[in-house]
Amino acid sequence: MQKLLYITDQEEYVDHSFIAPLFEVYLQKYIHVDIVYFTEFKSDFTCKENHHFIVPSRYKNILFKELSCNQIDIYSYDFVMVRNNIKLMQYVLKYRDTYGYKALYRFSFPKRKVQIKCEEAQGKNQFLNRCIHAIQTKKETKIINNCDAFLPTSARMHKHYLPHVYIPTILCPPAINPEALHPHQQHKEETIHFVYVGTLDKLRSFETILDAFDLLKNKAWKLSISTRDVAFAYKLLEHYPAIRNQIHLYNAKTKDALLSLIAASDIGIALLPDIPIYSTSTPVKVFDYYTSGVPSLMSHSSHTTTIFTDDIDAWFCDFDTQEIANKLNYLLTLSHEEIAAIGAKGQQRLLEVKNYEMVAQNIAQQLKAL
Amino acid sequence: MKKNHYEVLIIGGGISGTALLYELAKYTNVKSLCLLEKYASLATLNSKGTSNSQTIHIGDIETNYTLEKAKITKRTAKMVEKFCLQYNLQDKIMFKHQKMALGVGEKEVHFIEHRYHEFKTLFPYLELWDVEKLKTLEPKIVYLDKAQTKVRPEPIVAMGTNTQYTTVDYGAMSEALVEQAQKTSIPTDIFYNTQVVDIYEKKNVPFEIYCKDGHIYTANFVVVNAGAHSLFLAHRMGYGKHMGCLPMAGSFYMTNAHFLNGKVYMVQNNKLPFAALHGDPDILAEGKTRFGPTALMLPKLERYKPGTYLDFLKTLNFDFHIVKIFWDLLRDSDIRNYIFKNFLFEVPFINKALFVKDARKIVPSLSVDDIHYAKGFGGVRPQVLDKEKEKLMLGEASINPGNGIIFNMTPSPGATSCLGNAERDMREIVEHLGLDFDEAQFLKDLT
Repeated sequence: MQKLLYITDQEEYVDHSFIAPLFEVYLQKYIHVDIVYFTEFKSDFTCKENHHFIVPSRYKNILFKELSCNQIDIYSYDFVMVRNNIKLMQYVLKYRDTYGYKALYRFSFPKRKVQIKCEEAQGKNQFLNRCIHAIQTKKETKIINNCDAFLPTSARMHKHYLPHVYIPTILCPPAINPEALHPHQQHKEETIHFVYVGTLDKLRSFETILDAFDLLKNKAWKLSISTRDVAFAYKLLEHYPAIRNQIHLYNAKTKDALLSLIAASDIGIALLPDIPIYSTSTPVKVFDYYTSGVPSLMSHSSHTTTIFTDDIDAWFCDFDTQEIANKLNYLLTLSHEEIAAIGAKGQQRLLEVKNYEMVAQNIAQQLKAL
Repeated sequence: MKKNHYEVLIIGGGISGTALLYELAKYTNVKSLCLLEKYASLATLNSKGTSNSQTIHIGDIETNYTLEKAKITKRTAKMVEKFCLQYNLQDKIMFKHQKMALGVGEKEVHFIEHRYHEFKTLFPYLELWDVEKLKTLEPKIVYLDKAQTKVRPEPIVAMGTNTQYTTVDYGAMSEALVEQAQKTSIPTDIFYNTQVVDIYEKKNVPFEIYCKDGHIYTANFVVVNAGAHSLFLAHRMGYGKHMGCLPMAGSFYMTNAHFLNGKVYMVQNNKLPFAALHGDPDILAEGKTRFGPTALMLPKLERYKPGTYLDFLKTLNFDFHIVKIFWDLLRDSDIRNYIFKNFLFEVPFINKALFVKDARKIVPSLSVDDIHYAKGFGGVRPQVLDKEKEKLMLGEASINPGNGIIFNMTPSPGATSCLGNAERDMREIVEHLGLDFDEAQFLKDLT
């Protein structure tokens, strides 16, 4: 069996990562995958479950030396993949000929661009940062073009953010995990229970959604928000005293806690501004919702509309207060059974077209062909 | 010129040397033992109560420890506890305090919560304390103001316990170890004010130990537990040339009154694990809280003692590899900033204000008037530089050429693992000299 060393920029205790099952479970059926996590806190190397290598971040510059010191044979790997860290990619490329592996770069999300957009949304001048970003992107493109393959989350993300990467491309999209489906808990209350999970910041403009809820005359709804940005959320909700009692804040610490919260809800909200950061791939929260059979209200984006159909297995609307309010009003007229049926269809649709079993098989095939 | 011969000779009367003396005297049939101490009494350097944070580093709140490392330190830390309990030294030199590792901010809180679940398997007594619980256990870490009316804005969480022995005066423990060793039937000589300058390997008598006062001792087996000087002596014999020593001095700041109820440790940066700030109730200063240690590279091997500058230069073993290690360290902005900041912590007039800024991560209401520089407190941690791997080694290092001599460098948590390290060396000595070892009694008493 071929071997892949996956070097991720995620931290050791990450458990909200939706893509983890792809590398942890599904790809393992075709390729042996070892995963390197970096820890900012622990000072010694640890090997967990035989294939998780926890490396202190101070060894980033001498990663292979540290792994070799801990009896990990770099020569045994056919592929070394780096996630999102171009400096580490450079390091991996430097030793490609020495160890004889194929170098792969995984691009999961345009983090630097998001940072700039967030700052802009707060009214900060980002001219200099945009210039730096342009230079960095050029440099990154050059480095990535030296790799053997590029693994973006979606073709649109590739085209929009790194259009000059010409090497073989293997898509690595988020998908639904067939083995982690959570049963949907039908509740008997009259109210419709909405849920939003994920980051809250200026860029996501969540106030547009709250404004829409504020417009609703029908008060038979509840909204649960699970976010790590609890302080931001509290501050934001101060501006909505009329609906504050209907909104509950959570900070789900584990993937299980998050999925349980979703499973106890009726409709998931995945409304995001129509900008490339959000429209070039399907938001991970959509997969979170459908994992529990909870249907999702999403923004119109060319990406998600290729998977779902409005009113069949999901609902779509524009990211506009009145549009959202209209759609919410419509959703409040539906019965729990009708909503659950949409959720079940959406889950089935994802299982058919976007599940990790299929994604893993595709990646494995394409890696073998490299 | 006087010559004394011993079966085993130990150089260094700190906690590591005395622990080995005790174990050999108590659990083996060694014919004779000798301990050579450079100064007029035991534990005058890093083992002294004022030189370290007096902590039993079991691995539960030391956030830089991996679970694997904590399994090892737990055993050795428990040996310290067992020794003290065996001789009824609890509440005399060993104490129970509340202790916790505090996470401040979203990232650290996330880390502490997960670490708690991982480490609870090894330390079942651990509890996870949220902000409400901390208001009662350690209120000063929760509130922004002295009147305790305003809670700090960032999220906090702690993992900790208040049921365990946490604190030992390692200086007093060194004395207790020697006292118990001398109560056995094994002839045990201790020579103070005896500075070893050279060790020679001979054919007939394995080792000759030359002292500054002209005395020559001979021994069949030698263990050097002399802090940074262990490497100095090893280099003189041609051993450990692949290592250099970087002496890191730590200073402390003391509060003017009782401040914290227990030990509060911060989440450590893996790049600087020897330098995490913590607050400890000082058992030698009426429970006043000691904040520190700082970390400053000093060009000498012993703090608050004259000389040893030349020894530092020799022990550093300077060459291209050392330059490479320094280069790798200094090109990291975290480390660079940390070094600069810690240098400023030693500069009079500005040091207190700068230190308070850092210590406020533990006690947000701490002010410059609350603390003073603890003069005479702090020691030197001999951090080892591995020239082959071109990296700074963390924790302890041992050179054992296998011919009857061992050199130990034991920076933190060396005191906690003194009896564990001594066990390792004792087993080596027993095998090398063909001695009897009462393992059953040893395991019964100390594990």
